[in-house]
Amino acid sequence: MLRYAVRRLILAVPVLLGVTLITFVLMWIIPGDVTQVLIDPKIGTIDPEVARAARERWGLDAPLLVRYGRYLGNILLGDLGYSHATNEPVRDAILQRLPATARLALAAVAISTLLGIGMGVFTALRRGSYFDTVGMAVTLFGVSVPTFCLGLLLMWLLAVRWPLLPATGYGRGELSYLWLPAVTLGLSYAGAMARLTRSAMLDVIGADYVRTARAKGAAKRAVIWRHAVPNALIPVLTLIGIDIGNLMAGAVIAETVFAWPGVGRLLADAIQQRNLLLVQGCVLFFAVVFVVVNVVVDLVYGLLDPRIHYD
Amino acid sequence: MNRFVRGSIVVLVLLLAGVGSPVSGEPEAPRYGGVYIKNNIYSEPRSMDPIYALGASTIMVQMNIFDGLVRVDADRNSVVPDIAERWTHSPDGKTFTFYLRKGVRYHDGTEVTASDFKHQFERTVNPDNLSPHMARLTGVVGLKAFQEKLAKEISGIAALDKYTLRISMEKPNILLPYYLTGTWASAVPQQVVERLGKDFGTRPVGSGPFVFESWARGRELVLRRNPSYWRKDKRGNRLPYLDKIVFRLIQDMSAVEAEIQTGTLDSAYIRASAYLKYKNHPLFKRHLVEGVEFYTLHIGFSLDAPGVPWRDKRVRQAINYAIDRKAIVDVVLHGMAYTATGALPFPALADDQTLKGYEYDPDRAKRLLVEAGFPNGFSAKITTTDSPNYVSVVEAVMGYLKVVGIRLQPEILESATARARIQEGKFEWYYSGLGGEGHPLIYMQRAFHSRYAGPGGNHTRYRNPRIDELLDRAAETRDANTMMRMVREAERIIVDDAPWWFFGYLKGVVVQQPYVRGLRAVPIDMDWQPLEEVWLAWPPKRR
Amino acid sequence: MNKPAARLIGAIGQRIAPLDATIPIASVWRLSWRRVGRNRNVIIGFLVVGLMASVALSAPWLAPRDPTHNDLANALRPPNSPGFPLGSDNLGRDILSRVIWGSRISLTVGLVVQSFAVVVGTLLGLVAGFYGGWTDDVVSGLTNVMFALPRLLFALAIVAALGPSLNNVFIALGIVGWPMLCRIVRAQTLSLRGKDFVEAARAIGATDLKIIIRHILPNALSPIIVVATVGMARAILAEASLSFLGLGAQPPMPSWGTMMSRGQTYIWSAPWLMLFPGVAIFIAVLGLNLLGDGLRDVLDPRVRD
Repeated sequence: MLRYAVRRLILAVPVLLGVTLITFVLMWIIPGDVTQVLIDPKIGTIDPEVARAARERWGLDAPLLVRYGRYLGNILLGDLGYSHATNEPVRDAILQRLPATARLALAAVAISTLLGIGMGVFTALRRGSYFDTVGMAVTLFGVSVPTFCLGLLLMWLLAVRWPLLPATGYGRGELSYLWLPAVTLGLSYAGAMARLTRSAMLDVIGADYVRTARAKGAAKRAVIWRHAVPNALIPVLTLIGIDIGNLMAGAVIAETVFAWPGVGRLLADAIQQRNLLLVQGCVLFFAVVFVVVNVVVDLVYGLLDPRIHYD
Repeated sequence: MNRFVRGSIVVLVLLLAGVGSPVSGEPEAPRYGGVYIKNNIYSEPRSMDPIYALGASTIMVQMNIFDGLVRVDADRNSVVPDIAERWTHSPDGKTFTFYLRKGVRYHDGTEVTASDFKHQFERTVNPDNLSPHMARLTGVVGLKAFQEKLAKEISGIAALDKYTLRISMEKPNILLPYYLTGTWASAVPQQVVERLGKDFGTRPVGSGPFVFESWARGRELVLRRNPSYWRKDKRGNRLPYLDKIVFRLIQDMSAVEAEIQTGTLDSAYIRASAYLKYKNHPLFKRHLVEGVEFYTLHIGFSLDAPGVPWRDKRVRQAINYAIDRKAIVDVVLHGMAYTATGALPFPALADDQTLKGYEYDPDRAKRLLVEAGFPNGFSAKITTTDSPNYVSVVEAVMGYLKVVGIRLQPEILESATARARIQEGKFEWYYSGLGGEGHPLIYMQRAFHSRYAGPGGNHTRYRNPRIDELLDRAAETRDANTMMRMVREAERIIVDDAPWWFFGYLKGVVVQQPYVRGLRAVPIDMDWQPLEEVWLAWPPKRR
Repeated sequence: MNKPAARLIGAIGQRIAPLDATIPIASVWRLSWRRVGRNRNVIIGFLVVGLMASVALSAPWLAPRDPTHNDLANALRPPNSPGFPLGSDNLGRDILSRVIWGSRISLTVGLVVQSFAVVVGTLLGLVAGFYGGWTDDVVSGLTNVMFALPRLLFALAIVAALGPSLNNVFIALGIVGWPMLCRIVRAQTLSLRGKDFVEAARAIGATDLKIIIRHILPNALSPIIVVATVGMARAILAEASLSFLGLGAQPPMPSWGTMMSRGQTYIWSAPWLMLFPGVAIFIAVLGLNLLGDGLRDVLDPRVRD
């Protein structure tokens, strides 16, 4: 199993390279560079002399391949570059926001998984009934409403109208500040989880071996819990694996609304500032998380489904 | 005293109390203490080093950590002493001498001296530091030599002794003190900067009313009281009143409004849609600080583009007649602007009562268009940023211009891209604002002098030799009244020439909690609030 | 293909397969209309989507007012005001008309983006699944890279690079949307490849192309349909998010996304600006999701009713 994990990680390196290359090219295509940060926003101008000197000093004029090569070389030395827009090393900028992002992602995944699986099991067991349709509508509510809408709605309900929770902020990591953004994000993803769980459950419930078990007299509940639910976990895990990167980056909207200092917001700001190195750093961070989580998910598969063998 | 006189006096007093800082006028005694939570950091500040003082989020914090030679007085928009207790200039207007107060100390206890200012000015213009303010001291003797590394220092800036600073210019310029009110021109302890180098940006030491305490990136900045601050209030009490200030970074304006509701934010600069709500709010409508800001919203026409209809002055004037400014200000901006007659948002200083702007007259607009040869109108592309207020104004303008036959095609761009396009001249029309300058002459230069055509601030690339000549002569006069006369004349020409559609002067509005006192209507930018005279009337109940 | 690699691919295929064990292989030709009639989700979904489509098509006649006509004197009227059944926005434009016209843009986004994603994703998925080997490695690597990149921000960057316009939104969302479909189709192809009827076809001497088009593709259609309908919903939502970030359809043409983004500034003072386009988005997304779910049930041969 360990060898498998290591091999997967090694195979991931081309993926990471591809990610950095695409990001570099994208940022190069987008007009503007990080000298943005020297523009006086009230006058809307920058002194051309200053811009020229900055470009030279910060190496913005070098051809794309040279900059890319330099970047890759630096990564091997552990140097992710310097963010001129915020005057700090890229690595520090990301590490500082890491705890906030991690907390939010874990909480959101936990909430969406619990809600999603719960709702999925519920609607699967009552398939075809009104409960099914209504249950789907409720879970889809989280998916269909844009995140900022959902976030502001929850903020109004739970922080303004009835002051139960703090409206925005990180609050030095206290739990009360985590609730609103986590629930907002969690609700958005619960819908997808619910649908997958429902399908997986239906799949198992109709499968032959379940019918055989029931014919042998096993209680319905035991059958469901022993076979259906674990089977439902597999696609859910897949979804988590595929979407984790998106969850963390897509959290940008929730992070904006709730002033949550996460890496998603950092990335969005970096794009706006045309801060190439910071954008690269953040994207690389998400990509690494994606790869690692997927490997973990695969290993967990092995535990869940005995049909899957790795060397 | 008869009743009439008494009544008039009462009315007069009430009027005077109503003018100026809106909420004060009550003779309450300031209360010491309290933590003031102020947001409006819209984005992460780049650095706390004043040479990088750019953008409201950075300046509003830095200006409370640092002090300069001079500062702008919010009420009268004039330059008043700060660390320099007085200054003189030579009869030819080329040399200024600043006399510093004695005993002003930095937060680490050392004394502020004239050589610190010399050092800071040299730092700012030094090309190695890449300060955006590199060009601010243009015209000082010896600047070029210093920047080109031919000289080790700027010969025109001399610390004559510990408390005297002399600055010599190549040409007379009585506006030098205005230039020095910028946050970049603050007193910075030379030894500390040399010791900390780049780290000074995260561990700043200044001489201002508040001491830097902490900076949690992405979250907040905290300042605490400077117990040995030199300035005292009008009654002789030591400033500042507050114990601590917390600047929170909240980027979403709806979230800001929610925080005001819950009382976890003490004040916030609000936007037009919120103004609508607060104007009528039972509690907050009495706790708004409002004032005109030196920021003129306008549409600029690209005057470099060849063969376009708006090269003809009559077309530009027609556009000015075709749009109902007042309706847009009232309805779209909910009154958060003052309708503009001309370019200069300086009602007190440069207000020319005889200057007639353009009234709303669509028929006249159509006549002018026909005269200029466009009876069926034409189409044009207008570039602007994706901020909701801007887009709504452009949409409103589109409606009015459609009536006279001009078909506008909006190009809504993300702010960085929009700014780049406008700077580079890659636009037909743009809608934006211009501000940031504290004096009408400097403002006019930036906006309309050909020297600044293009990236300097004159985005329309307006070139008029008469204006250039007027503004150049005004810059060299030594008499303030003559200067203003020339500026007004220049504005009259500009209004007639209409390189802009003159829309409105921004109204800055800050909403505050009922216990906050001392916030001022700062004309250059409501966010640039001096906080040493702010106090809390009662301890706020924090959740 | 050497054994370890085969096993690896088999393992990856297995990993995908559980996801799509829920989308069993059934031919869309064997659709039982009776089952359609009895599946509530499909009926409701179809009705809703059909309703939206008719609204979009008949917008010019259905909408009471010109959606781009400013009427500053009547700005911010609440719903149920005379002449403005759903209220008016901050420029006095009728919200009902704007929602009706907005359906055109939103549904077009869904359709165009998903069509692109379906075509590209299916092609790549079929090829990768059928041929395996290094083609599969390349395609899988590419999809992995696309998955690793944060989607919304990727789309944001593309639109920022190409400029804001509806067409560029199509391109951006399309580029971001094909990987999911590709992966699903690939998984299906992988499982179908080893089936008997494919062996039989080969024995007769059918070319690869024929096998793909006549045997594999029809059987893979049902998951494609399902994922496509759901993908449409996602595309509509993505358009709303892009508009929120300022890069969607250009004014004054209304799209639900831009209406919500513009309405956001009035969320506390005039919530109807956001409410109605939000409800419209919700209904559209709900309808599409129900349709997708229902179709999956209907096309599933293993489900007894």
